[in-house]
Amino acid sequence: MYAYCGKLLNVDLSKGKMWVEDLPEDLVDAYLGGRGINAKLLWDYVKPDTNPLGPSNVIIFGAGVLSGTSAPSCGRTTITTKSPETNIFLKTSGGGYFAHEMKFAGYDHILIQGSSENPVYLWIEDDSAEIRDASEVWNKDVRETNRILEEKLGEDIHTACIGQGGENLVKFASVMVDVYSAAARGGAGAVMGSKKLKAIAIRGTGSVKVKEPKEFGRLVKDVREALFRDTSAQSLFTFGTSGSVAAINETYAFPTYNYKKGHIENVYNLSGQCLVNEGYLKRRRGCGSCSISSHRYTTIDSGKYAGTCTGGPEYETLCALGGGTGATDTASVIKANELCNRYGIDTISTGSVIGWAMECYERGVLTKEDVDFELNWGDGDAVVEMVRKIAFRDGIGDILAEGVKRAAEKFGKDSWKWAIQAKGLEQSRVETRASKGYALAFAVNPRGPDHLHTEPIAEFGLSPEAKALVEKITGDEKYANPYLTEKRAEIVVWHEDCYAVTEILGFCAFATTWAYAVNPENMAKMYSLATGRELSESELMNYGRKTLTLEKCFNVRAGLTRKDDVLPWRLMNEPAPEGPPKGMMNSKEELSGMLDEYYTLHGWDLKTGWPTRETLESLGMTDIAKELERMGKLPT
Amino acid sequence: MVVLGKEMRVKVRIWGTLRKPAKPENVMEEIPSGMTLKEFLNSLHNLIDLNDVFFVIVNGVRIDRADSSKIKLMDGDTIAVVPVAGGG
Repeated sequence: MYAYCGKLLNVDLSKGKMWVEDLPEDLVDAYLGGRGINAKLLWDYVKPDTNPLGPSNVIIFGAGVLSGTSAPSCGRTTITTKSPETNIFLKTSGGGYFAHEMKFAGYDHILIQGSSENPVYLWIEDDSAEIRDASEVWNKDVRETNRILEEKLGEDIHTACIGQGGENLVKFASVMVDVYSAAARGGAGAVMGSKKLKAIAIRGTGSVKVKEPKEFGRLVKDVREALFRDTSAQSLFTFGTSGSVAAINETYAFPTYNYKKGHIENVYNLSGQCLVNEGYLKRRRGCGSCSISSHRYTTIDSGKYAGTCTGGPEYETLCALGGGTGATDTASVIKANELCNRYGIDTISTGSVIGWAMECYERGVLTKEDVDFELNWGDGDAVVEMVRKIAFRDGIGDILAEGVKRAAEKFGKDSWKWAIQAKGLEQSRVETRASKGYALAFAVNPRGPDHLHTEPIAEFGLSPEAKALVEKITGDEKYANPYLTEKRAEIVVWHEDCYAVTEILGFCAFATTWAYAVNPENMAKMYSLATGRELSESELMNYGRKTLTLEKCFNVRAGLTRKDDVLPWRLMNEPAPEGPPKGMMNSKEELSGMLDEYYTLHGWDLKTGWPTRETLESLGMTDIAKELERMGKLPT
Repeated sequence: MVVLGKEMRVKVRIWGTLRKPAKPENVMEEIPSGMTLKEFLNSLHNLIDLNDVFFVIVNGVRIDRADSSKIKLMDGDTIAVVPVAGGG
């Protein structure tokens, strides 16, 4: 096989065994690779009654099909498991060089099942793979763990590991890839922690062969040059994702104070401009084969938090840990970011639960006795301390570590109304009341209300490329307007397909759905030239559709229905408070109308939201339809 | 109410452009009544690179720069000039 390694590494931690099997050809034909094959493996291994933190859950690492080649910005590893936070499907993704290294070592996928009794890590070096004792790195943070592993194994290893957050089964613990790239959402780190799997360390010395190297190389060069020219890619290089803070705040769409407001004063302190101008930004980092290098590396050189150094902060982090809590002193937000990365917990969920707790405190649902200290809006030091309490499940941190849905159940009263979650996942920082495409995308996302499964930012029409894409999808660029509900279903479904393809092949979504230089057409060509397996653009997009549909079916099998495709209560019931979005809401009626259009486009049943037999069969998923039928989960 | 021929005051925050970012200050500017957004942006040529890509946001609403000659500024408007940026 070209581009593929053709190998799946199996690990059973209960039995202490590892073995390699050929990647089945029919699996490649059916789901292509990366996120697609991951989804099928999860479907096969994990059943509705599987305890996400028990030995029967699996965690699957999938390198992109084109990772390890020279394809630009193609270094993503998809991690798929059943989420302990939501009890449903979870796909999360990390950057760095891990995907490349997996391929160089000779593996497309690594599937880990079972649980070890004692802490272990996996050491993979080409054909040699072993399960090793991890007692030396257990209880160590992510940076320290990596330092020790590098001392033992060499500086050129690449890793995916957990910090204390994962060890302590924080429900939103992340897997940290190559130290700084967080596969953060939904608690994949807690799944590793439950398996007593501290890390995977890998070194590969092989290479990935492509079928038509000259033509592939020429195409890659063209795509890379297009990325360099792309304004959005340039802005990601200059400011990182944090560059968007200013524009979003100026348009009153920056969710602050636990989504009570859409704007914050002193926003400069949370902006990418501030990180650059005030000397926090030390360097920009690119993942494997990246032509964008959006990732930041920041340090604090003076003051109370001097000595802090971390990857980030990204837009989501600045909004969740900063705006969401009202904290606008840059240093405390960077410090909180550093601790989240060291302990391996998701900055979005962490900021969300702290913002929620601050609102509880303001309303008297939580008291100083509950918290151990004052928890007032804007107190950055309190945010920093709360991060530590969550990671170590100290005091109230033990409850917040369960995620905002369970915490609201625990503290009761009306606190569920300001718990900004749906399907059990804290919503990422998008003002969906004023961006209807995002609202729909978040409501139907199989992992919960989150932007990293579908990123329909094109609906804002921020660049000529975005407007052209909206015109391509809907027939008219006038639909590049986030306040419209019309045509949102079309825009969302296209982005779902594209995003899934992006992650099947290993590309970064910034290259395909923020910048648009990598697109389905050239992805199909790159795939065909690299593998020798000819695929058209529409055939490739069909693999994206299949993948998303299978992820949806995982949730259908687990019992989810249309009633679960919702958004957080506040956003569905309280209007946006200020600025141009003032008065807008994600009302039940508005969402319902978009859901009807969305299900219709997919060929899913309107009443249940379930894929129909005809739809599944037309996608070549007859086996899935049969199992759903057996379980009474096919629409009648 | 704006009276033609009189000066009016607008609030300006310049975050700069992609190649020339700036630290924004809240500045009150006096401008002639009836001035268009395009004319106003041109008056900022010392502060921003007009050939660069940037967003213009008036009272929280992003304005397509192609439309800036059609927009007449009003007394009390808030105008922000922001570099193109994005991502999540």
